[in-house]
Amino acid sequence: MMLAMFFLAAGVAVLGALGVLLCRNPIHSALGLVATMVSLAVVYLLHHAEFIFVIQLMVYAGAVMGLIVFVIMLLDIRREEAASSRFAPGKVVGVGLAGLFFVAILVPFTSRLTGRMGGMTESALERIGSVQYLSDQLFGPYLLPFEIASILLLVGLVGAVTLAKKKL
Amino acid sequence: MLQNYIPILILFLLAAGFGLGVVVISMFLGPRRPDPSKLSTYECGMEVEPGARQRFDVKYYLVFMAFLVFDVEVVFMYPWAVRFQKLGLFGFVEMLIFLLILLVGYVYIWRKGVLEWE
Amino acid sequence: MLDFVIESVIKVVVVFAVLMLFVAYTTWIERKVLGRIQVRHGPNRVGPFGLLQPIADGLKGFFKEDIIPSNTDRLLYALAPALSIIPALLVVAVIPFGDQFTLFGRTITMRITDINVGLLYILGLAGLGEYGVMLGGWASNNRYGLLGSLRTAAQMISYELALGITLISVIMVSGSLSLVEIVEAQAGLWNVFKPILWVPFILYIICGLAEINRTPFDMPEAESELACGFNIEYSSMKFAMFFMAEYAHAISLAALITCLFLGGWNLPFVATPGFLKLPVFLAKVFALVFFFVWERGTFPRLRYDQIMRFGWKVLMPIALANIVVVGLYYTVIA
Repeated sequence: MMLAMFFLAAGVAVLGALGVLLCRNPIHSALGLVATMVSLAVVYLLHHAEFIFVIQLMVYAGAVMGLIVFVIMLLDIRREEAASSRFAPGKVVGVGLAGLFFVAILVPFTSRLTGRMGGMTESALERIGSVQYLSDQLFGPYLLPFEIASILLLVGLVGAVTLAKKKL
Repeated sequence: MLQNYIPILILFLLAAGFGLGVVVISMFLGPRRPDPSKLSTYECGMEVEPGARQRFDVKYYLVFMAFLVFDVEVVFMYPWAVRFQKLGLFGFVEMLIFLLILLVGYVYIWRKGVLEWE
Repeated sequence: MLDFVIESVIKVVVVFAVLMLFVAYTTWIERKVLGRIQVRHGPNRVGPFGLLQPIADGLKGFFKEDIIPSNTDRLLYALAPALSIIPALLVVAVIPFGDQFTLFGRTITMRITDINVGLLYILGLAGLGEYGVMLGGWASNNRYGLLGSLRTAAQMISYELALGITLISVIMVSGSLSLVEIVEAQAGLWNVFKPILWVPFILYIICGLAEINRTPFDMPEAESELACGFNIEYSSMKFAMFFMAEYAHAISLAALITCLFLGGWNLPFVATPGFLKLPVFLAKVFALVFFFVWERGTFPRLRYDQIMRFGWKVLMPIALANIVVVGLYYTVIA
């Protein structure tokens, strides 16, 4: 049951990703990415990460993708205006990096499965996935990264305003 | 715990079936008498220039970007709020520092005129 | 397990049917009350007091011509109404509308489900709800439609932010993201009567109204300037579905305010007998729905720049200050 759900969600994620690549219309591509983000949220949920599930929905599927769809609508980007040249050097680099990434994904599969149960049982995952546990970690041992994150976000905001305001 | 999500899955199937089903059904039930002026874009009656899409103000983009950053900051605050009573005064001070940095960003976009609409 | 699935299916179907009924009759309430406010009768021809009007409207929607303008993006044009109604319907999954009762020796809870992150689930769905509106206007390839979509999207996200910040103070006091636990914690004292929490209550109503695009924040429609906005090119049931989504959102907003601030199924100050819990909850929801109609009949629409300025420059600072004040009160004083 769990495995079937996982393959369903993962399958939709892959289909969405393919849609991003293959659609000629940028809005359709963006919606493919929305589908991928939502299915990834479901994958997180199947790993008992409840909080990450809702955050994935809120931040990635909602806010980030909303921004991308919004900007495509705002700027009226037509069908693949930019990608006209067939053999751009960027493409070669991109394919190379994608290949490296694929190899990196394959590495874990080369190790043998022992069949022994690790420490991450279902109940352990459930405990770790809860908001309460995350909160205790975030405001205990990981306090410094948390405060630094706020500075990072501030930098991001200043950067966005500077970039957009350059021509005004 | 995951069991609690099964009803949501059922509701999703029902809602999606309903949403898509109604769209499909309405295609078949109504009459179909298209003519060129009926199918043209609705505006004030004159011939419409093709391609109603146009470029819009960069302001919309800036507001969206500001939303994105603040939204992520708010996401950090939810776990804190859940544990607020246990974290006590120390946790509150931690969050005050976080809020202060958020406030800097807020004042910055205000001063830069991102929030101005004319 | 199978028992559980069957029980869930029955509950989902019942709640879905009741929600649809409420959506239909909220339109009737709105037209009737608005009519009275404007010294008219409102619908009164179809059935006694016009009670069959929503059903007639629904049937009519199905048998009207489904016009698809020639230069639309056909796929997204058809998909947008569905994308706007699905999140609106999914919200109801985590709303507890009663405690529990026993039937044939089984304990049946009066909610579809209870998840630990219910409140954030609803916020997540609110974020996904924007796509229907955005794509509807874009796919129509109409100037009014597109402008309506962009305005709506910018407005929705602005108020969603203020709404999220407002909610934090409620979570701080409740110590939970599960709506059932939040309601149960209000058994003696509703949240709105707790110190300071009337501030987020008012903020939440304002942000909520703006987020579901109701008057005085009904920018996406703005009949007088945008000729209906994002759904300008829609007809027949597709048009009706945008409206159903809107009313479903209004009902779930009312239910949410009830759960977060007005004690859910609890009576104020006294213990609630079991059989009264559902009626108490529904009474509060309908009181709020009535309020939404009433304020629509009272307030004029704001200008777009006023809406955006109000959201970012007034509500945001108040919501942030609210967190600090609530935090100070509950750590230092209490």
